[in-house]
Amino acid sequence: MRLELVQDSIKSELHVELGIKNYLETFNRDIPLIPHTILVPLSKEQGVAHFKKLGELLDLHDAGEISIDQLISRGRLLPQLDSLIPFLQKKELEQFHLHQLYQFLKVERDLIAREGKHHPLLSNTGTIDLLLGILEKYADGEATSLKLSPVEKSLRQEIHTVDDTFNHVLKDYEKKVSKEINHRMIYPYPKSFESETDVVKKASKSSELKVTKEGTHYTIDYKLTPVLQEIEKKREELTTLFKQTIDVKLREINYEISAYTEVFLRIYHARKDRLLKYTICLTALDNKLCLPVFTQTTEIELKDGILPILKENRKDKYIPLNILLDSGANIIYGSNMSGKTTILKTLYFILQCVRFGLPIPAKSIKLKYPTTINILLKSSGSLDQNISSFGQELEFYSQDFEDSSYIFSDELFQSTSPESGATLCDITLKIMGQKDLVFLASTHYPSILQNKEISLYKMKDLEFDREIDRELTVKDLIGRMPFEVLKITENNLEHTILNGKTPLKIAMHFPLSEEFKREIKKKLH
Amino acid sequence: MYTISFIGSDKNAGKTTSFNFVYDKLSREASPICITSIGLNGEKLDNYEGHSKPIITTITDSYFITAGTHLTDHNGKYETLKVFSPPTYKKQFVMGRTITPFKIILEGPNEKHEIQKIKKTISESFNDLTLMIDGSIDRQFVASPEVSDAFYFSLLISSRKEQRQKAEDLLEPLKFPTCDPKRHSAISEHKTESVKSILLGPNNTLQYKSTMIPFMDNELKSQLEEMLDKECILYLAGALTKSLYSFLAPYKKLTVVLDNFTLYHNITLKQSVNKRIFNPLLALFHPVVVEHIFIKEEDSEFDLDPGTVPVTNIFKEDFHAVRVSTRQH
Repeated sequence: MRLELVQDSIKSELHVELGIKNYLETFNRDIPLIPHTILVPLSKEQGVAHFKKLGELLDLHDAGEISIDQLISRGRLLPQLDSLIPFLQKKELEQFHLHQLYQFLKVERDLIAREGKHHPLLSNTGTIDLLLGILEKYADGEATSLKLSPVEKSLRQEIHTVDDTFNHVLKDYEKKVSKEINHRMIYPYPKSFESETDVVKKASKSSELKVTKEGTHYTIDYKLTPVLQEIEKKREELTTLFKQTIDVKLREINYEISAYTEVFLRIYHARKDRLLKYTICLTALDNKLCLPVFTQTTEIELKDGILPILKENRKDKYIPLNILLDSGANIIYGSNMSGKTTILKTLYFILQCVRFGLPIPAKSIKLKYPTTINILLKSSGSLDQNISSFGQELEFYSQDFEDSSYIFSDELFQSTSPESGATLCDITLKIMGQKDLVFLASTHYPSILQNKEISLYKMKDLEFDREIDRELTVKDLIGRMPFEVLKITENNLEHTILNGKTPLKIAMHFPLSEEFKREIKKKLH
Repeated sequence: MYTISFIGSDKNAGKTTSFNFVYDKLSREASPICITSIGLNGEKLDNYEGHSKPIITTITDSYFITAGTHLTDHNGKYETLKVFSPPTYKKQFVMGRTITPFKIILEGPNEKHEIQKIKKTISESFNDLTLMIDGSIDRQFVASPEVSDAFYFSLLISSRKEQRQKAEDLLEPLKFPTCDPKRHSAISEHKTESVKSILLGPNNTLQYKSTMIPFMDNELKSQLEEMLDKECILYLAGALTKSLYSFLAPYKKLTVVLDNFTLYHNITLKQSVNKRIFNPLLALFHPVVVEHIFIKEEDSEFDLDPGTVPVTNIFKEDFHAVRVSTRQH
């Protein structure tokens, strides 16, 4: 099984950057019935029902009522019947389809026994036995061959015997021809020659062959003996009769099966859906993923949230995200490289997982179902669309954001002059603060910290005063960043504003020229 | 599982006749046998020249793999053993066992990974099976050791220049030496499924490798130009085309290692390239094991050199006397 998100659901650069493909790969399992599943965003009703079902299945597994890993292991034996279904619906199943159908029904019956009252379509399970009964009535073994009546068997044997006789007589005929013309002819295929070769000359004289000339081409064909003609005629008649008999039998089988087609298709699709859910649950168990808990109020409470691709890169230095965001406008303040953008991306990733029905790499998450998720990251504009980064930002805010949306914006209005930027920030925060949605933006503008109407957060800063004269590389510096979100209160507000020179301190650890660093130092003291 | 593939030098080279003959012979001598083809084969009519072609009749108790669409008229005459379905396979392929013989149109998978997967699946239940593949020289993967263990060649011997050249070109790689173990391991180090060329310089050091089709790879050519007077090895997993053949002709210290013999057949149209002035040494990465050569003499006698491989004119000789397999069953 391979999962994929429906095309264009997430911008391709972000899809790659957030490692969505890698995350989806953790759900990969070799299950022929669901080789490839395209996930689509779920509506609120679908999403809530989906996660409720996943929760129930995990509870049943924990209680020992079902074993998800064993059910998946058995489910792997189910054949994929997508190419059989059109034949089933048209009542045109062929012999080999019966074997496939039988294999599916056998495994499904086993799954019914294992799932008991938790089968996805409990009231319809009787159909499986009825269909197996039909197949066992008409076919042998695992529906590998058709059950023939003694008359049909004898007809088939007669074809075999006539065929043997024909081949035996034919071999003598071909040998005779071969001797006469010194060239092997294989009945019923004529031979063409581009000129009148020795073979053509000899064939012209043979009573067993006929030669025709068309332009410069000569064709040698057969004059079968009356005995061979008679046997061949009989063989044709018997073969036609046998085919007619078998066609009638297959029509009967198709007719009997057709009474249950509709129910069977429901079971088939329910099984696909259930196997997908089992796979999601098993991946959640194996990777300690959590299921979201949905609230009525628009908010997010995330505990130990992980962006897997980042965790993989940073290994034991990775710090999971803990954050509580209220409905309305939220601002995260912090110096460069402190991890503000990472927080926006982690939240975006996690919310998208919820929207596509996937469990979350976190300890827990509570939120209102995310019907819409938007993110605006820093950009340098688009040459293609002839639009600046400021224009892109204004375009982003031209959208009509629905209630229950989650909106993330990086460096809010830093795409323009500080004065206008700060004004636009205030306006945006005022409007977003009045809506029933979660808006989170990062910013450098200290003036925003004075806004009492919004929830303020900051990234915990590195104690730069202790690091400033040390020979730290940028990589070391990133390694020492706390990546922790703190709520800004009256008590720490002043300290937050004072730390406004942190970017200058960070710059000291970049390989800038000595002249550059001397000038920065002057400003710091 | 032992796999033998059938390759014809040309259309109407008698490949299906040879296939039928070996199928019949092996069914009596070694069991069990399973027949299949690369893509569609065994059609009733050769559309190109309008000639009738022999089709294949299944033999009782032998196995076959073909597209399900070709079994509609044969219900009741076979036993279904396995069904290989999309999306793993492009079409639905059925492995069956013949109860009563019938004329079959063989249509096996057309991709290497499909053949490999089918082989892996059936070898779990039928390890002693001999798989016969009605192959095609145009599908290069048929020469891969993961697909075929040995080959049967069918050659059309004709006075027509082009047909004769094709027969010669199919036999020519039988004379190529197998790449020596040192070079083999040096190439293997850089070789992947998608790599089309590898250029190794002195001491087998890597100069260049690419996934581009070699004859279109200009960077390969400019790398080669720098190696004109140096000992070097060029591994090719793409056809040695007429233009590439001409380009490489002056290199005196070059060894061209072709991945397999099918890459040589495009040289057919090399009227303008004189073989004698082709200086590089030609070698094969995967040696070719040819069990038998069947010839069809149209209006000319067979006078080519097949080395030690036995040759039979299936259209003239008493085929009951022909021993078709050198393999120890």
